[in-house]
Amino acid sequence: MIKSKNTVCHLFALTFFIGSKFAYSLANNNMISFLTKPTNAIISFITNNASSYSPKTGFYYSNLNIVIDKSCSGFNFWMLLFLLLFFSTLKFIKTYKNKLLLFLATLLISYLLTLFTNTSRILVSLFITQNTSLHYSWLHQAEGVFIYLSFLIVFYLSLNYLQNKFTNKHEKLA
Amino acid sequence: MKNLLNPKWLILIHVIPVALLFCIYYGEFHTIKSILKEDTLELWYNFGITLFILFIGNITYILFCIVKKNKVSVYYAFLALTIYSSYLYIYSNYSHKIIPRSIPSWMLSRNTDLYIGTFLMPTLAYALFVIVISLTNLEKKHKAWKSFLLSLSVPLIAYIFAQIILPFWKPVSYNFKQHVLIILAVIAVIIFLFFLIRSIYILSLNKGKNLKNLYLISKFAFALICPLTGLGLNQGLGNVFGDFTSLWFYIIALLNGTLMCLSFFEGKRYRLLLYIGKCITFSFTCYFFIVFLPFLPISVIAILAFGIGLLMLSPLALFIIHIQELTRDYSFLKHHITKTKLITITILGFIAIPAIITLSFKNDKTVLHETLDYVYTPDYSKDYNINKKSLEKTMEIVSKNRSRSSGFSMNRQIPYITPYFNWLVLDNLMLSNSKIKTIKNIFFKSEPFKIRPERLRNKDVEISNICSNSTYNPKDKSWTSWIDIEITNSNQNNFTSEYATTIDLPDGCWINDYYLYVGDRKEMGILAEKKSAMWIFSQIRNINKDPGLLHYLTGNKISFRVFPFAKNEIRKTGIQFIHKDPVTINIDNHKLVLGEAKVEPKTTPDNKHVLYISAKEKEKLQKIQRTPYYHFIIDTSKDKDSLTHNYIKTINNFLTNSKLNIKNAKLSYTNSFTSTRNFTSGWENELKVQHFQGGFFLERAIKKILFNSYTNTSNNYPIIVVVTDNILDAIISKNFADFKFAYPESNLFYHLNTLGYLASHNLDKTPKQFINNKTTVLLKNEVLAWPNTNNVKAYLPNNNKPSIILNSFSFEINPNLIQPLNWSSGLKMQGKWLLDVLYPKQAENNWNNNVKMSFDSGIMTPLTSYIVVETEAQKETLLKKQKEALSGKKSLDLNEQTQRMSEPGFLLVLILFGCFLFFRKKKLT
Repeated sequence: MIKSKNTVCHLFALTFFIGSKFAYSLANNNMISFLTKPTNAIISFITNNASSYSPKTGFYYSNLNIVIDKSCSGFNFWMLLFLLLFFSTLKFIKTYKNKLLLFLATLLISYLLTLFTNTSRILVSLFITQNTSLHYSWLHQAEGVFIYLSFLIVFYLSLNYLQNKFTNKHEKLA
Repeated sequence: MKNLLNPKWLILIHVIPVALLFCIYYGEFHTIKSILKEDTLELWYNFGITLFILFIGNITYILFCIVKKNKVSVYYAFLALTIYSSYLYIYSNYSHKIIPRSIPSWMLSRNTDLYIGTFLMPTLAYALFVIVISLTNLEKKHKAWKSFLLSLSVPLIAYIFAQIILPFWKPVSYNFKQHVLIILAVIAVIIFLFFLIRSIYILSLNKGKNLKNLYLISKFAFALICPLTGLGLNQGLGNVFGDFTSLWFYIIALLNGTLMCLSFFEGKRYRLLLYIGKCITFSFTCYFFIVFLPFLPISVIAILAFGIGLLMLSPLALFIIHIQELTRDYSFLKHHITKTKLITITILGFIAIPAIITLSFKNDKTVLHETLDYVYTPDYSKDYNINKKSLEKTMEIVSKNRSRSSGFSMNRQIPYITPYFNWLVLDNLMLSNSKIKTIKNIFFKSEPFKIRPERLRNKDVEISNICSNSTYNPKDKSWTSWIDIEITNSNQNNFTSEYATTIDLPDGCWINDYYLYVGDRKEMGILAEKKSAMWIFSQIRNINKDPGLLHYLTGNKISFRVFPFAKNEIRKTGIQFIHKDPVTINIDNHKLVLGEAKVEPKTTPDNKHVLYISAKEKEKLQKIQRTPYYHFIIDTSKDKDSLTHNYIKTINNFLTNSKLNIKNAKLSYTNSFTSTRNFTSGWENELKVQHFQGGFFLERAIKKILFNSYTNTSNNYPIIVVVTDNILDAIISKNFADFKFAYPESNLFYHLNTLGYLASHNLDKTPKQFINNKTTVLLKNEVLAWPNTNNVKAYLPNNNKPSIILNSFSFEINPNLIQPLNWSSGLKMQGKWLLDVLYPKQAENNWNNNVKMSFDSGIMTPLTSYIVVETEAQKETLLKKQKEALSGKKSLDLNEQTQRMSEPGFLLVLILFGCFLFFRKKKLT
């Protein structure tokens, strides 16, 4: 008899992750627009600045002198968050059908949360650039790491909290 | 090995490789799609869809097996073997149509043909393993030698068949015969491999003392002797399977073989160490297994030549042995060490070699980029330190890539590792031959790159009529002047001729427009990006059409060419100049004065960064003599260490005879790099301890001196004296006319040879050729101090010609202020160009903007060219090429300050978040 547990799902998710990372490395700005386009729309709405798009450059804001392209898409965060959500919740799901649904659901939820996080990251970076004289690339990186890490921790702790609550409720009912 | 029947293996063996195969082929398809014909496209779709259906079928089966908790069935293995063998066979029949020969090789990555075999072969091998395991009943006592003999009988039968039956066989058609033979060969290979794997499998089961000994012997043979012999034989045969000549292959093969044979003791620590070692070398075994997978089918033929065939099979045998050994050690160790630790050790061990290779390649990439920066876009104020060992390796691979051998021959590359290197280090780009040779010459003093001189047929093609017409622009206070030229070909032969000449432009004068008569039609010139225009010109020149071309050479020298001229043909052309003052233009000894001294020109008030000083203004400036000092450039390139004493003697003699004080003198020890210091006593000892290596990169040494002299304005100026036995060996790609503003006193530098002779050379023209070979140094050179002697901001040449001054070493030009037919725009662009000459690193970033500004103003700069083409198609091609060069309109607006809102590094976030999870878990427990 073969023990299945969740190894297959883990392998499947990891394969999906590796495949996506590989596809991402081949992708251009057009292909990644499903992430950059909504991010651009939100940035444009909040900052009240229009951008112009070209496949080579991405979304360019002439007034702010910034570019939102493939490297700013938030793809890495999306993949990281997806793995986190999927692996954390997988143990609660029993059937393969539900596991597949969970896979799709976490993919979608992590996508939406990525848009939120990535936009926050860019806006904070813009705030620093526009309101201070601190124009260092390392600062931009550090700010990105801080925002990403904070959101990852917040999402993880919230998920843990919800899971504990859900489990306790079930135990009480039982 | 029974564990192999777990369907999860198929994810690793089938799903991941085929998914990768899809990604690779998608990338290739995306690149060549536009040039494929309809029927070829159909083939791509058919093969792609078939493979996709098979892929989905496999995934469904895997999921089914996992859900139902079944093992992989032997029927699946038979089916997979049949279907994928057929797929590969059909693919190989159409492979020449799928990737037609018409596709340029540079558009595809290497070994595209081999990818499909490589990525599907694991599935085939796995199917064969499953069949072997399923059909070998463990309860029965099997004899390994029987299976081995049966496997050997296959090549024997094949040999008999080829010798006796084949000559009498008369099939219906040649195609039929060919297909039948290949199918028979495939079946024979499968049967052969089946029995071979079975015999190794029986041996590895290790039942009985005799078998145990036999297994040890086979381990010794397949894990130690065969790999080492194979590597040696491959090298002896001229690297037929790839370039495995690196000593590391031998070391790891030896280590791996030793580890395989060391299974005598049962100690926990001993077994753990063995396990770690085997995990590390497993990537080596896997590598050779993958490399030799596509060659397995020909192993039957090779087995006829017994030794070679067996060697080709050793990666397969080693792979089985290695897995068996790892499984055995794992089973033993899991009773002593936790599963998590064991899995961590396994993963870390397996990725150790690939990680080391990747890190080494990453380092090579950094070195290569540093080298390219150093040679082509240097920062003259920075000291570079380049790892020559790493660079040598990279250049070796890049050179091998250039001289790529076609087809099956792999003797110049390491399979899969070289393409990985190309992808990681070179981004799949190729360096031009000239760049490779220049870098090699600079760093390793190899053969210099020799440009083949262009064959110009411009004899007896001369100007027969020339006139000018100037118009004053009161708004801009400048002149625009047309020079109309009539050129006649007086050649008596029937070859098409060309008109080619050079024009020296004075400072503050630029080319603004151009025309050429094509038949009776006056074609106006198109201002194009220089490289695109030169590419088009060379294309057209090859097919005898009608182009005219104007572009900058070095400094203010313009190349002017018209092509073609038939016998006795007269052609009309014209160039428009924009200038502030009256200027004299000399075209092929025809001197024309353009404009008149109509208004008193003044220094441009609207631009504080770049200033134009007219000849009249210069007359008012005060003449001064700056204090000269010697700046010796000593050749410390490879093999010149024997000249040290000659250098010391010559320099000391030279200084004894010189009237110049050596107080401010400087020394630059120059080989690949330049290291400069003050000329102090004891310099002789310093010279003796220099590293004499690489080429003599004189161009960089001179440019550094000129850069420092111009950017640190002082009352001193350098007199450059090059000390070498042979200046012709020095690396100088072009003259120093671009730096003309940095040597206002004199355009001379000197060569002091080891015999003590001093020769003068010209920085402006051909620096390697001497002007006077027995000369003395000219010390009295006058310059003009600007704006006055009390507060000198720049020194200008005392030559009755206008000059341009950079008043600031860092400024940006607002592209919106660039206007057509505007002299001030030309001045701003000229200032930017001078800045780019001094700071090439910045120039790289500003390239797009600078080209765009030239287009907007219509003024030709060293980055653009004026070209006339005859047909609309040529215009289209030019514009397309130009669009490619400047692709992305908005990117023209980007500058170095534009901030890219990039994500932080994935690994960094992952590691930090991993740390958070780790500490949290620790805290909770």
